[in-house]
Amino acid sequence: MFNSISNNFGAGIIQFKDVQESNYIVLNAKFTCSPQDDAYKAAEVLEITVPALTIGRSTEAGVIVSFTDRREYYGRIENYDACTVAKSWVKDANTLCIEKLSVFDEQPELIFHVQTLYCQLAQGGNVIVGKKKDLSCVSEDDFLSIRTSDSLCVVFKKWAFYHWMYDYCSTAKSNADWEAFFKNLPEDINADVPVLSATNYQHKQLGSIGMSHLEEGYFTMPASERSSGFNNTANYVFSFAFLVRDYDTTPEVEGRLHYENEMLRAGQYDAFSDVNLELIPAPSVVAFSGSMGIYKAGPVTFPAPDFPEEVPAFGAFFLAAHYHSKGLTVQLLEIQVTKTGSNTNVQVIDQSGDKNLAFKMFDTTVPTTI
Amino acid sequence: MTAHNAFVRININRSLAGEHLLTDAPSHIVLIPDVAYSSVVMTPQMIMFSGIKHESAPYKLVVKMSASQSAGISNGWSKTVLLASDIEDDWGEADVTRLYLKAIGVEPVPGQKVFIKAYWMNTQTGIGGQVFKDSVLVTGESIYQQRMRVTEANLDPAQEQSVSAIDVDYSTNAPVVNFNAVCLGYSNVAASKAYLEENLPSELLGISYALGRGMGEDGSIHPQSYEIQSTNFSRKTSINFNHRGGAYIKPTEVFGPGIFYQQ
Repeated sequence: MFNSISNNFGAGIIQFKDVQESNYIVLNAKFTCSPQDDAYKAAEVLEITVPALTIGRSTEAGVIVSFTDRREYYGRIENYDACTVAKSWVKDANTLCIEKLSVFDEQPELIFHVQTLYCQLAQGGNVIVGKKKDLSCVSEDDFLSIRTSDSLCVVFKKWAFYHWMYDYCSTAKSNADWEAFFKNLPEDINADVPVLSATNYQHKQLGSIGMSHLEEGYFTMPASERSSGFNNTANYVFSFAFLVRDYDTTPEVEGRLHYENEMLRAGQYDAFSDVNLELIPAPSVVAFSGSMGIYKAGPVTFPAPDFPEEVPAFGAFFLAAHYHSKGLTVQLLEIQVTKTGSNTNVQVIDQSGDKNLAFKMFDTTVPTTI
Repeated sequence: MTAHNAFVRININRSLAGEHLLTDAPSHIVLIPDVAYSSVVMTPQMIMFSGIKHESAPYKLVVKMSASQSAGISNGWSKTVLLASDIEDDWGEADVTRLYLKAIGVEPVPGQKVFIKAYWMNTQTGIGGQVFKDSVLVTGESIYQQRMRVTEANLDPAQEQSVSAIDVDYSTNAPVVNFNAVCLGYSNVAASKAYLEENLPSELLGISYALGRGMGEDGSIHPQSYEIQSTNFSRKTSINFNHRGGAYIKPTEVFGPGIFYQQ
């Protein structure tokens, strides 16, 4: 987490939650400013000066910019809050930029919702495949339904991507505050997430926006945050965010060098599931568990994202077992964990002559440096 | 250098970089960064700098190259001619093949040597930095892999496209693909398709979600989300931009990093 140093558009100090890798960063922040401020009017591009980031430039990403517009009609407060996506980029290691949109010039106050991943190109490797988790909604009397085909998260150790789409809610709850549990949403995400939609009766060039909250796997959204027309057909209500998890870098056990990943992928079909690796430097011992179901000789090499720097490159031999129709096979595997720059690969090599890599492995052995 | 010399030199530099004349002398005490790059691909088909250490505006790269010289020549920098004074690297890459052919007139010859001079120029002041000298042997073929991306040049000309200005870049080495496309829509479907001339590798086929923003003629700039599917069918790859969240506006620009996964 860090605070901004300054900005050129009259906003106060901006606090960022962050994940900073060597070639991309994820930033979360929410802040306000006034387009009537002289500094805002003078700025061509909104610039925020920050402590040095791990990347010195980025492609253009998106941040949600909104303003509040609540109006009373016949004793009801109608929500016409409006928004769109503004382009944002890392200009240099100390400067985050957001484009200035003239559509907001007359507003007294703007709210910026930064839940954004900033990446670079030509990084010496292609896109890394994530693992999708479908979100499913558990609510009282199933009052709330979400579009399961488009409600998902892709989870990493320190951050997650979240896309959610609303389907419908029961009439009984249409004017109530909502609370539901989203299965598969990481429970260490604590964030206010904008909910966007198509219909905005007062600002037809812009979308509508309301705020939901995610915490400990629960989704909440007050009735007052749901825009006028929320339940209209074809309102395509959605959320889109890269969210920083409340990850703790302190090892549970002092000196513990640990890595786990639900699934490593090498291409579309080859997977190494439930990887759990623990290495003790002295005396040198490594414990490794995981399973594969690859029916070919291999070897197979898996990129290992978010691999701890502290775990060195090593090689080791492990025993694994495969229970199949003809009985139980014990297999000797050689696993090599290699590092090139910030990238780590896990290569699995069959040393039994089995010509397949289908096994469950729970073994502890002595690693050697490579 | 006299003031007159400086006026001429600085303004020629600025003019070559597309800037107007300066009438007041800029400060001469300036720090211009040094040129740094990983390699130069030099083949008859491709002349490209890779791994250029990027310098932001107002700096632009000035490159001079020679025609092919005998490999035994050790000092051929006097034979370099200007290729361009306003080169900007594209994420560390600068393809100067066409500039070379336009300036030199012939392709470099494998086995021979090309001499290179390069320096950064501050286009605001017209002042150039330290000249970096290099020489490269011309090879017949290159093993250099340009980064994986899809642009308009990769689209199948025989197919009707419903996406324009497409630039999908896979070279992030991160769990996202970078998108930059304008979706035009087709028929009455809330989607746009880009048909490629060739297949993408299987590891780049999958599903992404990215943000979009409307570009309606009425000024609509509604925020949207798009599910982007790349699939192979009949030995061709299609990239489908399927509208999901927000108001569907035609056209819409889809931009920024999109998470990537495979079913």
